[in-house]
Amino acid sequence: MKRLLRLQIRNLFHSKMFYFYLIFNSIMVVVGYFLSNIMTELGGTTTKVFQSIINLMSSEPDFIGQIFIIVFVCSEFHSGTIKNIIGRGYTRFQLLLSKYVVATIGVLCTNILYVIISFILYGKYGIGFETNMIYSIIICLIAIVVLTIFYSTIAFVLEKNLIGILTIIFLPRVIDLSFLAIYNFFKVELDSYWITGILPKFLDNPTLGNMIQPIILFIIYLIIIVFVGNRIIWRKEIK
Amino acid sequence: MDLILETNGIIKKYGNKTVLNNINMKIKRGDIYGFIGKNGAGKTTFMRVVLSLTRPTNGEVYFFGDKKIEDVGLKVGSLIESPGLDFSLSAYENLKRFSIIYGADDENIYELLKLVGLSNAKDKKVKNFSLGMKQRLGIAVALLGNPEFVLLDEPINGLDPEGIKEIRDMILKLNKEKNITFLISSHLLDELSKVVTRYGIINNGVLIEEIDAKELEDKCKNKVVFECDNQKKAIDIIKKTVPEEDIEIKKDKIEITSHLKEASKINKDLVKGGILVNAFYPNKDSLEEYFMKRIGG
Repeated sequence: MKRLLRLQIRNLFHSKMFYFYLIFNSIMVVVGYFLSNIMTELGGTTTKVFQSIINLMSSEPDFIGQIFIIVFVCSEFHSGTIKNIIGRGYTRFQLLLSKYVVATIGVLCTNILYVIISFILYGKYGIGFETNMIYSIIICLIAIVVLTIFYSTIAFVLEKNLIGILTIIFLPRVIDLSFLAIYNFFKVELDSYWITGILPKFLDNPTLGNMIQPIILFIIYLIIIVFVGNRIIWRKEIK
Repeated sequence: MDLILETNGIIKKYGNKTVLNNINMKIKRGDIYGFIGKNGAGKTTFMRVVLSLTRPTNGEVYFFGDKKIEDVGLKVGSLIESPGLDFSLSAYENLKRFSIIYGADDENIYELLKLVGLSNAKDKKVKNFSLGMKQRLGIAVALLGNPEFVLLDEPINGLDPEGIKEIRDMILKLNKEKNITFLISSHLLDELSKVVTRYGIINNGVLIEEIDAKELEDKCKNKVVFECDNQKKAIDIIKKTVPEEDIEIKKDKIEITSHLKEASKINKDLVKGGILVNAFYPNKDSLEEYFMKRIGG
């Protein structure tokens, strides 16, 4: 397992997509900073460091992040090198586990970058730290890990890059829309229980007491994703 | 018996189609096991099952006695179908990448590059390699980390005659010097027969025979071939000495597989009967002929 992790870390830092992801998001943060300055001049409120960090973290893994995860997870399928890994006695689950860990490291690297850039750009407006922001950051970090594992599992199961990209990008959104439709017709609110809806719901009221529900929901999702994912990939044909 | 591979009752079905039917194979340490069969007979699927690239519908695979691939995978090298290489990397980088998970060092990489004749192309991107060079690099990946057992699926595909000889010599050398056991599938039977110590013949997913190379050599029928004119009349004369079922006609040749000691007498009878005998000589069934007979071809 250690060797697999070493290989995946090497793959991560040799991946062009990873650097594109980091650079693209850095540019977007800078663009966002200039836009927020314009909004402030037009009478909007000033964004401080911690608020900026939470805003950025809560959007991860974003669109580019999802593509990065797919490309990273599918790289062995794409090149056909996976048979040289599985054929040497590594299990499919060990490989997936190494992908989970290193894809999460990749996504978290962006978040470290967000913290640094936020301090540089928004530092002049003040830190703006409030206690409940720690709760937000903790839930954001849990959400990032669970969502990365969720997208990684779908990518590993579907394997083909294009199908994986389309599924990962559109499936959660289709489900979001379905829940919205259910709410409109039946007045039953389900979206806050869906994997991509848990975090936004918590961020509406980020208190210590409100942390329990998202943590439990994320743990349940994590168990389901890993269990179902492992069941599916166990029989997976390696081409 | 020091078994390197043992499979018990391997069955593989895709839907209603049975691709492998109750395969029981045993490979001993030091064997070069030639796995032969027509295209689609199930050779590659069997190798994929052995390596856990596909799960069997039923049956068990054991390595080195009673171990599973998860326990001993690093001692097992393979080249199945196409070599799984990253074409955007160089030969060295590909080996370096796999060396991380195979526990190999740089010395092993350079040794293998030399062994497969790619030392001069080590920094060349694989996408610029010929088919033969990719195949050689695939073999190097299979041998990375000093495995004790190597599965090679059609390893000489895409190689020129010189390359085929080099790979053949390499297999023999590794088998002799490092006692590496090989399971090799190939449809180039004559090439295979130059290295193999034991054969497995598969047909329609069934392992119909396992046989030692020496035993096979004995089994390959001795025969005498007559090349003569007026075959019809010649056969009538030969039938007086040799039973009809032991006479076979192949184009302009008549082959007899019994009463071989009476070949000179038969020749004399033919000449007496006015037949022009151009040549008569002893011969043997080739591996290909034996194989064709076994699969009913």
